[in-house]
Amino acid sequence: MTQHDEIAQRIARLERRAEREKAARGEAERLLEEKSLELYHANLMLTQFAAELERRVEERTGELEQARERAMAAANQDQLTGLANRVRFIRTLDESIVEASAKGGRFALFLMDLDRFKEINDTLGHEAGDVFLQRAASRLRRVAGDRAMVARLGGDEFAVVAADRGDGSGWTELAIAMTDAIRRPVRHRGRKLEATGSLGVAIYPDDADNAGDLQRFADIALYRAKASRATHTFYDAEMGRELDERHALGGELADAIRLGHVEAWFQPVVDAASRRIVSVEALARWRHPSRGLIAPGVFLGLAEERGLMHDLFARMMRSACPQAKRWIASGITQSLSINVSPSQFRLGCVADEVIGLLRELDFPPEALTVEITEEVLMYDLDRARQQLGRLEALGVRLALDDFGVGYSNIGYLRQLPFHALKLDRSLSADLTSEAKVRSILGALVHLADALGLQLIAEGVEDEAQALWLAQVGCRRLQGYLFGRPVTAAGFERAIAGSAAFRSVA
Amino acid sequence: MKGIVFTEFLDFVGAELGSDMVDDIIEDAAPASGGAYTAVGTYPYAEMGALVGALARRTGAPANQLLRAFGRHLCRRFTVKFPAFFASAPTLFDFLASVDGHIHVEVRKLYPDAELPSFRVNARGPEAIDLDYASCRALDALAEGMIAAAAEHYGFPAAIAASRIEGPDGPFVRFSITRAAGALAA
Repeated sequence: MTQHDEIAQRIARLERRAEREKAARGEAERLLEEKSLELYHANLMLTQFAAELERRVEERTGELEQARERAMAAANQDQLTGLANRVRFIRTLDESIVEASAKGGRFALFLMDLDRFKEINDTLGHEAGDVFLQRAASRLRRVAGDRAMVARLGGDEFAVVAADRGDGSGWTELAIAMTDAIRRPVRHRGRKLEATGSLGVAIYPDDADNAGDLQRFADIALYRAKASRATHTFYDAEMGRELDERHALGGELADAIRLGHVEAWFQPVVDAASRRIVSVEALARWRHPSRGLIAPGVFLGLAEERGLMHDLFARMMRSACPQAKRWIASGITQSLSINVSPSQFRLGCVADEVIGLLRELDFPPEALTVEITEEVLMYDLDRARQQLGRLEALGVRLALDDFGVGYSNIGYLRQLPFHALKLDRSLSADLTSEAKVRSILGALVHLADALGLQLIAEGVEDEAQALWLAQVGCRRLQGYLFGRPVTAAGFERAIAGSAAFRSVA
Repeated sequence: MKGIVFTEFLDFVGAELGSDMVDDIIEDAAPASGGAYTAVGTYPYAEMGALVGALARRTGAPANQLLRAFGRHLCRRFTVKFPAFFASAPTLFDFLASVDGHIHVEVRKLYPDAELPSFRVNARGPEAIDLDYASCRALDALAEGMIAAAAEHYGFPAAIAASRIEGPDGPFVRFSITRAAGALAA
């Protein structure tokens, strides 16, 4: 090969090499661009992922926030009604005190209780009760507006903390509006649910300057409202004193029963035609060593509250039976009537109590009449029926007291072994003035006849009433006309002094 | 097959036998890529086969011998290009054991589509190790050369015995590497 050819060959080789290098570099660049594009897309995806993640985190945080708020609200909220619960109420009360004391302002605490709410639950079921509470709650909230906080403290108790409306009258209006709101019936499943409310009000700082006293005083006022059947009552210091007195008395009652300061007084029941004594009713009286005679209206309630009815009844039997036994023996009377409280049926066994005491006192069962009010029929009919049955089997007679103004129905009367109905004194009181009452009484006489029950009219105070009742067929009469309740000694004196009180032979 | 094998092969040929030989074997093999290889590219394995075949014809040396030599070259190049792999393994046996689990894992990060052989450690003792080489390409000669260079790098006088074994998953080559007889511990 010539040198020229060699050089040409060499150049050709070098050119081919250069070509290969160039191609390889081009390939490398292309791959680089490809990689860059890949990287760009990867970055884009990452950015999107990051944004998505951030969005989700925010969403989740929002959800958690909401859940937390709901939990907090639930902790402060009454589940059924959505009102503030007791916890929040206490807090609001404290806050209101702080704010009012700082600004020199006033506010009112209302405590509200629904009367006869238990009946709705008992007769129509808890669902109806719940619905009623819910509606009552929303009505109260509407009435209270945004100047007052309404709370449900539990059961059928509500509380309202109301800011000062400028003058005291605003609170009276609010109280009336609240009780009105409660009184409106609630319609549920075609039924009308009704209850009423009692309200007690205490004012900061007029009545008390701390949460404890404020609640206590509102409670006292509420208690007073319930007792006096007022819709609402504002607390006053007098109430507090009275309550303290009542407390003191209550504390002494157990001892009083034990020591015999509580005793039986007697009132006669006479035959309507002959006016002769057929039986005596034993009535409880408390001769307090320093306070004098305390009316049963006061201490019977206390006895119920303190669970002393059983002891009271035993004391009454022990006080009355020996006397009555002597009077029966000497022909002054035929039988003894004694009252039993419905709570004794609920809390224990009346039949056992009575049977035990009759045995202890050696008193003939046929000469005892047990008087019970209609209330006993409301709460536990079966229990009552069972116990009354046992008493009847023994020969004890049974009278339904305060008949004609409450819940009794003929169904009950047919089922229970009563011998007599004692007409409530309000019927006797109104009969001369109201024709309607006379009609009712006439009908009741027929009813008693149809049921085979004896009818006894209470509260007979004048001759006109006595005559009319005798005429219409009521055969037994009791009342001041024939004698007020007196001690055993007083009774004997009255017998001795008046021929009219000789017993029916 | 990744381009790095091609570029290293051509560099090896150029260094040992001159760049004219490079031109010649490329011309002989007439690869579709035109022999323009870049390390980050991917090219058909058949082109490597053709180049090795062309070199064998031109040199008269058996292909396996050439591959063994190339293997040594390649491994030496790796000690320069990727020193970290060698630095992280204190001994030859550690290094060989790390090929599958570590080195090739890293390789796939850069070249996800790389077709790499597997080097499974079958047995290992203080003075010997069995390394099972399995691949879709019959490049055990290349692997042997690489192992020899690695042993040199670690100063381990190695005797390498290769045996073809028919395994349950297919054939593989077992490299039994032991300390060469007569050599003292380094």
